[in-house]
Amino acid sequence: MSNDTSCPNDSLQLQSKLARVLRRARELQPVSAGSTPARDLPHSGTATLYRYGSGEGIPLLVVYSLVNRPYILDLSCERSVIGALVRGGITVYLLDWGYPGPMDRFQRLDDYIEDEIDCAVDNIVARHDTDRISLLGVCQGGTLAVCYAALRRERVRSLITLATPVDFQTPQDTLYRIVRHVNIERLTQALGNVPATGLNTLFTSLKPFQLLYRRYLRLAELGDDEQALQAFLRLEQWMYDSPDQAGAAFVQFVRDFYQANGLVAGNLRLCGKSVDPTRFTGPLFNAYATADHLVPPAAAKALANLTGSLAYHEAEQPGGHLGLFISQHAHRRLYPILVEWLHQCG
Amino acid sequence: MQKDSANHSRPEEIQGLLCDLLKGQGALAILLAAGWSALAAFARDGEAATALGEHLNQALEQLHEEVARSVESVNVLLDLARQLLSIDRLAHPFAHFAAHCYPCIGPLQKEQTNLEALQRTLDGYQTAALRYTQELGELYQATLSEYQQELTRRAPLERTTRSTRELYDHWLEVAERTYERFLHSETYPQAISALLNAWADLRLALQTVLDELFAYMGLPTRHAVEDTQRHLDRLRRQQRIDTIRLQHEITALRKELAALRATTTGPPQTTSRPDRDKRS
Repeated sequence: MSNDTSCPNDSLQLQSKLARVLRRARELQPVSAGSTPARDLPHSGTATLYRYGSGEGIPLLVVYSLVNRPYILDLSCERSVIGALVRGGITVYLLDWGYPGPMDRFQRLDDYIEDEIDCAVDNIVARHDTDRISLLGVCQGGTLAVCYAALRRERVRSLITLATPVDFQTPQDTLYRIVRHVNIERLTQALGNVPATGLNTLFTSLKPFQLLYRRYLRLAELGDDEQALQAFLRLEQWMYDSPDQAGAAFVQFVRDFYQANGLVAGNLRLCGKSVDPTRFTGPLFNAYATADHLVPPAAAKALANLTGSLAYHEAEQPGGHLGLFISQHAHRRLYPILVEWLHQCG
Repeated sequence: MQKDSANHSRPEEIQGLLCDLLKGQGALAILLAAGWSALAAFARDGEAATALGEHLNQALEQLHEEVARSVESVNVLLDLARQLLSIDRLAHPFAHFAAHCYPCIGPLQKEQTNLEALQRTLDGYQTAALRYTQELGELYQATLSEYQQELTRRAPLERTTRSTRELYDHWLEVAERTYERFLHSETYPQAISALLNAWADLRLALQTVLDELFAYMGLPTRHAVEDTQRHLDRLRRQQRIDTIRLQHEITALRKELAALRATTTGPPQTTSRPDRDKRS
């Protein structure tokens, strides 16, 4: 390595670039998220049920994860999953779980399924004068959707799962490695609801160098690209806008899904019944990302062997977890196929 | 255990303790920052190896201090609570008489039991924190040695100096790779789990001691809040069951009404409110 005098200056240049971008970012905040018009509908549960689109299209209920906020699906008009579906003639219903508070501490997964998903399905079925609707589950919401389809198969026309884990003990599953020895009952007893900051810490600690340093260093490269900076800020806001987790539901999810791997082991029970994914025989569209560090491909692909679907379709996408929802590739390739598939399923 | 607790029993110390307990990532952040500060120092001094080594050692020291501060803060609470025990005051002058040798006697036996439990969980937390710090220390060393090896390997092939940013990117790349390896090892995730479990035990023991204090102050305790939460949960469930039953009843009544209408041949009956029932 030669001794070049330009070296000391480049860190200063980077810092000054970063300072300029940070100042501009500060001016741009707060950024707005959500681009598709929505109506909230009467819903008897504690969640909010939104409708996107005319109400005349094919009804599709989106079941999102409890861990983050669902507006990642409609972050901006250029990369909106909901927008793409609505433009494709689908009437999208979305269950927004909100932010569980101290009084939701004993809310269980059973409650989310029986009182929220099932009530929303009741509502949509009545509005569309049909007996079954399509379900789209995202990440942990996909796992809940798989369980719901197994428990109430007569209500589900077709099932779509995006980045959905079903086998929680695959070799690449880092989350499993961390939680497998945790006494989750005791931890939740100490915490009550599980604070979002704790979960965010866990998630960032899976990729700390990427998420806490590289990500912000790259911010300097955005320079004068206002649109890119806004997109960055929107995603940044979403990443850490996380709800606390209702204690009882969190215990169930970690214990029954991660630690006991209930769906694969075949011993999962919800709503007083055994959850058997083979009971759902309708069309199933399972999409996952190849470099997903939260839901490794194998964790999602395992659904092929668990489901009873007679028309199973699998879609592999390049990139990471979030890329499945906001990447250009997914919006060019995945969502047009998904819309067509939904039309074929009726 | 900290002896001069009186000097440490400031509210900000206790607040600091709670923050420290929540800041599971503080230690990791130091590791992350170490790379940048070391390389920035290198950019100034041009002494790469020395700068890296010094900064990583500083970061490790900082790490130990973080853990020590958390533990010290818990000790403050422990000592604060122990002031209530008369037996402690009587035995205090005899330095050789260790706290764990006290039998549970006197009117504050329950409090003493709670404090002993807190002490045990604190020991457990210290052990787990030490184990985690050791893992982090090994991670440091592994990252540093891998980075140095790669720098040495690449140096003869490089014709121009790389920028600080390039060096830092390289550092992050090596650190990420090493960290991933640790995450997939047996011991590192176990150390995290052990720390989380010990932290939960400590927090529960602390809550018990604090609950005593809150009850004494007439403030709602953790136990009372939990009781309310359970009660509300029961009420909610009952309300949902009642609502569903009511909905079923309404549906059945509607069906009955429709059947009645179908059997009547005349025009559909309309109901109207009697005049005397008119309300504003």
